Amino acid sequence: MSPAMEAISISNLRKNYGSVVAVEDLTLRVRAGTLFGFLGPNGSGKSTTIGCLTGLLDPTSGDMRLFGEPMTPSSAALKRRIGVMPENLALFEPLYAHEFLSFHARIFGLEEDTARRRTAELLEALELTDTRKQLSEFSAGMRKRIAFAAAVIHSPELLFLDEPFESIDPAGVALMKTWLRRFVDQGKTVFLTTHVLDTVERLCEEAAIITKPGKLVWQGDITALSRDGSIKADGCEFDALEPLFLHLTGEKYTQLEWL
Amino acid sequence: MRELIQLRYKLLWAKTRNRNGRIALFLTGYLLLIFFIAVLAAGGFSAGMVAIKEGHAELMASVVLGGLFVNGIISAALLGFGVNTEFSGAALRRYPLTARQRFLARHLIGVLDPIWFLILALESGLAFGLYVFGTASLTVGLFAVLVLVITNYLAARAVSLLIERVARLPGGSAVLLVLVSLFSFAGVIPALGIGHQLKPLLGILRLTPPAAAARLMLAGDLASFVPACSLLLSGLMLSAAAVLVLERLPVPSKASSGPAASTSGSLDRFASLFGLSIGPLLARFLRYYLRNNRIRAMYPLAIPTVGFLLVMNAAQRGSEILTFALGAFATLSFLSTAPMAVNPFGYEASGFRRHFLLPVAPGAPLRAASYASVLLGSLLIPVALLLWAAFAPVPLTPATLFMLFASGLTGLFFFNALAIWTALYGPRKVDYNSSFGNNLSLLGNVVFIGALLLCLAGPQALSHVVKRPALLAHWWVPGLAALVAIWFYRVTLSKGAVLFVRRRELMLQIIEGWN
Repeated sequence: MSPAMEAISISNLRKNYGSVVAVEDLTLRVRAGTLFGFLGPNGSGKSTTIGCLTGLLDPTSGDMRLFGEPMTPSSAALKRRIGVMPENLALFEPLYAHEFLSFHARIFGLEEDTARRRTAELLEALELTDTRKQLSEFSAGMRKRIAFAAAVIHSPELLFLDEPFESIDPAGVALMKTWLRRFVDQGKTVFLTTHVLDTVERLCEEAAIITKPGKLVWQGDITALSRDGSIKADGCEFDALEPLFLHLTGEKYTQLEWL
Repeated sequence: MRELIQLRYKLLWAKTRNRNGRIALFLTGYLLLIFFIAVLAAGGFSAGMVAIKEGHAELMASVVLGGLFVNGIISAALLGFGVNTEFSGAALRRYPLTARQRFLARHLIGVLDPIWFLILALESGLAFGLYVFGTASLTVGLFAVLVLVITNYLAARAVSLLIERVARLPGGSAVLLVLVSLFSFAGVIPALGIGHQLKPLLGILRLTPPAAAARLMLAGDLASFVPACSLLLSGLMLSAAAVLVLERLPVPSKASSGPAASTSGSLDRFASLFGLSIGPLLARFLRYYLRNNRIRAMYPLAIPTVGFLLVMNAAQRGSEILTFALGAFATLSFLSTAPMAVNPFGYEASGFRRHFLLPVAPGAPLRAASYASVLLGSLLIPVALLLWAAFAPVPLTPATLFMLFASGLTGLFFFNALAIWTALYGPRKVDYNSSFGNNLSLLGNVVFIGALLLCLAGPQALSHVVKRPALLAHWWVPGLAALVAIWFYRVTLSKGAVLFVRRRELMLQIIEGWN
């Protein structure tokens, strides 16, 4: 893969929190124009990796590039090309939904008219039309929709979505999936984390699985699942992502006799 | 229920694992030691001994118990000591308890909070002192103390519930702060010379639970025991009834009291004057300030508070009032926004991390947060100058106006610069919607209280050394101070921007509550 075609390039990323290693020697490439699933057990370093990629966290060592350019906290031009929906949503809670989206549109450089139009369209499409409530008063699902809308309002080229579908109702999820597919069809890239492996199977083209602490154990094309009915990995054949995930991460279902 | 009480204490202990918790533990230990000494020395033996030797045992006991009663209410209801949301009625629903058991558990946990043990210890000291030095019965004394502490807890709970409900009403926070300010200023009534007019009102105090407890402690016979005991138990029943009624009252919805969402475009237009990078951030921070309960209460009260202090000093100091006014003007602009200015990011919870995902220069959020405080504070200076021009008790000259203006600017920029350092080195995770209680970090408290002391006590000390003619002859000094303060602010902004990015992970840990 030539660097020009890479939306994300991570080489030997390591992130420590004091003596705790959150990510260890992670190397990963994501092609531009793909919907990429980034999978791993709880605490495996997925959110930390996204934090490092988006300039939120300083990596302890390693190199990270988006569209071939190194990402640092001061990379304002690069940040304008990406959209981020953090796992904890990071909303400015005392604002109203339209204020929050307008703020995002303006700070990402949209003209006032465009900002106003896109804000109205997103609020309408995501059914966020209750203007009496501040963000802190919305339900978990509605808050997630607002965070999603803020991530996409400036039409980024690369979208980071950390657990985007949890708490959202089926209609909302279907709408978001449709948008994401159209987004990728335009040559843009989506990097998403989720624990819902079925969603990754149906939505993504490629996936990577990491295990604690942030070690890459597999990366590959998952369209083979729908095309051939199975994926080959680690000398075995898997008919779905779940058995592959459990095999590679060593996660086991413990039987509790009393449950 | 025993497990729940144990859980309450485990959570208290868990809080000591972080740095702020250890500081709190140290201060609590230190305070406990002082309280222990106070129990033995002042609260108990000494108070009892003095009371009996002076022949005013009942009055002394009433004053001591009344002071502790008020302190209990202030500590629990206003300063936020005591049980928090982990043990609210809603939170207790997760446990297998009936409604009645939940009610009992909540209040049992509440009354067994450490704050009430402290008050119980102090009041028991008094009962013991009265017993040792007088003829009072220890059993009756301890009974009175026990009933009084329970009444105190219930009264504090009733006040908390009332505050919670009033704060949610439109303009409720301002109303509450006015009431608290009036209560605080009650101490200056003697200075106003109206104390004798209020004397009839003091008779009512004899009907309060502390006065009843004091009479009960000293009751020598059945004839004095029965009325005192009845009065004390009536206070207990009334407090319990108030809690029951207030708990059943519906909490007003916050949604209906919020400002209309469509009227906020003017802030964006104003903030856009600061450029495309800072403008949207500034508009956002201005909204944060203007929608915060504490700022909405403190901002309109800043000028009346300073005016009140000036009037008080005018009566005492005559022509030296100008010296005091210079200090008052310096604190005016900062006082109005300080609760948020010293900790602007602590109110954001997870929203804090979004600043680093935005395509803006490093440090832009810090600048925007500080600009919002400076802008709002600066608006008060011309208003205060106009009021000074209208009501000043000293001759109005261009020199005095310049001095006051420059003093206002000095305070504005100097204290907002200190607030930036506090925001970086002393952030604290706080609830944006809370209205009462001291929610500043240790460093925030040092800056806030230090600023007040410096500006209010400093000029008083200065007025002994520098008299008015000398002050007017050096009219240019406040101007020079303002220039230095502006320079300090600019340097702080520039250094702070770098530190803001460098310290972001540490601030994330504190503000998002990782530790």
